[in-house]
Amino acid sequence: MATHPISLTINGKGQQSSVESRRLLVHYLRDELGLTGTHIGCETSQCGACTIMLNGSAVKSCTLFAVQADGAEIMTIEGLAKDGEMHPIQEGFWEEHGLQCGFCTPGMIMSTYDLLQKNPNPDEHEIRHALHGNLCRCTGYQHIVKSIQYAANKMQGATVAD
Amino acid sequence: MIPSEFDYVKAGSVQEAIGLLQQHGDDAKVLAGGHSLIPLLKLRLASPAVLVDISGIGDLRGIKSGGDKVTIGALTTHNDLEQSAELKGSFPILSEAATLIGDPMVRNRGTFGGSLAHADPAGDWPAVALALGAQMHITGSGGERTVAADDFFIDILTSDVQPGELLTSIDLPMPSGKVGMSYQKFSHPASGYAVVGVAAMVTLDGSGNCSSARVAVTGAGAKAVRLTSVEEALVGKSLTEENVAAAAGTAGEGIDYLGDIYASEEYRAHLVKVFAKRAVLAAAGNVK
Amino acid sequence: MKVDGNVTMSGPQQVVYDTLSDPDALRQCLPGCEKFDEVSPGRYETVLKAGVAGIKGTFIGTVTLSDAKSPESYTLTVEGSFSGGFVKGVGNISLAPDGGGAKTKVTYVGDGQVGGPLASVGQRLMAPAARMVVNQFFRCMDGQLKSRQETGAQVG
Ligand SMILES: Cc1cc2nc3c(=O)[nH]c(=O)nc-3n(C[C@H](O)[C@H](O)[C@H](O)COP(=O)(O)OP(=O)(O)OC[C@H]3O[C@@H](n4cnc5c(N)ncnc54)[C@H](O)[C@@H]3O)c2cc1C
Ligand code: FES
Ligand code: FES
Repeated sequence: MATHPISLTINGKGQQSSVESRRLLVHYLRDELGLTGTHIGCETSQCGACTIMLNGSAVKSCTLFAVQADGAEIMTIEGLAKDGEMHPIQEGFWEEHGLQCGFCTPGMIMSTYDLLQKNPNPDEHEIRHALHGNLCRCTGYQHIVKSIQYAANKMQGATVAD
Repeated sequence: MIPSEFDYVKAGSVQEAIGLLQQHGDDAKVLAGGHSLIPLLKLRLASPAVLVDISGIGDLRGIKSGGDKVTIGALTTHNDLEQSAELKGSFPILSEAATLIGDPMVRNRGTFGGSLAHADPAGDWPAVALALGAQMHITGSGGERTVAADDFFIDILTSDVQPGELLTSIDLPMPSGKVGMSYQKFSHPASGYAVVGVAAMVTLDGSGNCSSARVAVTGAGAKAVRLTSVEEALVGKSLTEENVAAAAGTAGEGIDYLGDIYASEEYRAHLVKVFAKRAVLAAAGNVK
Repeated sequence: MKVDGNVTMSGPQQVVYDTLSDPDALRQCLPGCEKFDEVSPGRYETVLKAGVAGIKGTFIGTVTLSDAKSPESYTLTVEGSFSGGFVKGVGNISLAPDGGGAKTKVTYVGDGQVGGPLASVGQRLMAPAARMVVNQFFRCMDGQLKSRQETGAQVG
């Protein structure tokens, strides 16, 4: 069994581990580090429930080996809230009823994080295009779009206020 | 879903990667973005003994414009091509096609070179590379060789990149004259892959007639191919809807069409004509 | 998933029919055949290591020859598991004399299903892959026919 030492930063904290080559990043995060906010929906790269930020880009952590993340900076859904305050995207999903069962939500939120950093003021079409890799079985997406619009407004307001 | 066991080595340079590939022969596979390979590993449809990760080779990522061509490093991601301001002027088709690949997470990881080397029968880049007349740079233990896109795609999942070789960069010859290009895709609603996708590049002469055309299709058969009958029928014509429709009507001869649960062979044959027409008209519409 | 087509094979209809339904020839030409044991008349337990290009998997299941109407047609049913998914395929193979009787035109019409995790990623690639495997199979069978005719000619 081939194992490799890896060292990475997860939600701002340094982390050293030894992982088997074939260990998927999502299994490493959930099973080894207990970061179970990142969900496994399909395990076949289709649903986006496992989306995390890796070096500033949203990726599907079921389609990446942990060893590939050696040296990387990772943010999972657990890293979003600061000092007990929800991130504006989380607040948007709360305020605009962007979730029902919540299974897809961590992935939706991480994809939104990527979208808003590339495009802080997306229109509805751009939001829907950006959510192409995230499936939701409950909401019909309508409220998710609204949640993201809420977050975009709030985050832009914050930038202006800064 | 857990792949079979394998060992993993990260290469720091092209030479090191080639050395590793030579050393392990058929047991080794290159890992770039992993978005075609890892799904296959998880299903155990591929079980290499060693993965050689090339994603850390910085030289292989990036876009360079120089004189008569643009050179794209094999590791340049779909997202890099989607966002590149530099390419929007000379090759708008690249961001147009990139934004239709999978979803944002796939585009953040998947690479241009990986997609071409993998030669997926429904990959988008193979059609675009054929339409743009791309030249592929391949490096092996014996040095570098260059292969034209027309000779690069051999069969289903088979490109001209041999075991022990790396696709390092892709040249796109800079179009000259009045040129328009477009990629039109009928996406599978679930997978995002092309049911049929057509890329077209047209050049107009002084009187506004088509002086040359390159049109290529993906998703229809086992590999991406040029639609030569359409190209021939366009040359010398003014690109009116009527003329383009007539040319597109010839599309697809000689293709051994794929049929699957989503789209039958007949349906794909029909889509090829429809999308050939759309792609050529869209290309004609953005000539500059 | 449909796989159909036709090939012209070397040899008269009866010879081609006998070869195409001969367990020894099948064992030689089914791609990566590791096991092909008759468990009841016309029914074979089979293990194949099949693949195209970078894709390879193991098929474990049964191959059944039925509806035999020598020398005109038979039905080939393939059922089992392939890389964690199930596959089921039914092919009708019919033969007709060609080239004045010296050759045989073989027409195959197959329909298959894949399920399980394989379907999500594999489905898309299965039809073209199956087609390639079928082409390999018939090319191999044609090779068998040619070599049998050569040895036959030498002996006889
Ligand atoms: C959910 C999903 C949706 C997708 N949708 C689309 C789509 O709509 N359109 C589309 O075109 N693609 C789509 N893809 C595929 C995606 O674009 C892949 O990223 C791409 O096809 C392969 O690039 P990669 O860098 O990920 O290659 P990898 O998966 O790393 O490698 C693929 C193959 O190419 C070889 N290889 C890679 N790079 C090189 C190199 N430089 N030299 C030699 N060999 C190399 C590898 O050994 C491997 O055999 C999708 C993928 C997923 C998971
Ligand atoms: S679990 Fe990763 S995409 Fe569904
Ligand atoms: S809220 Fe249930 S899957 Fe999206």
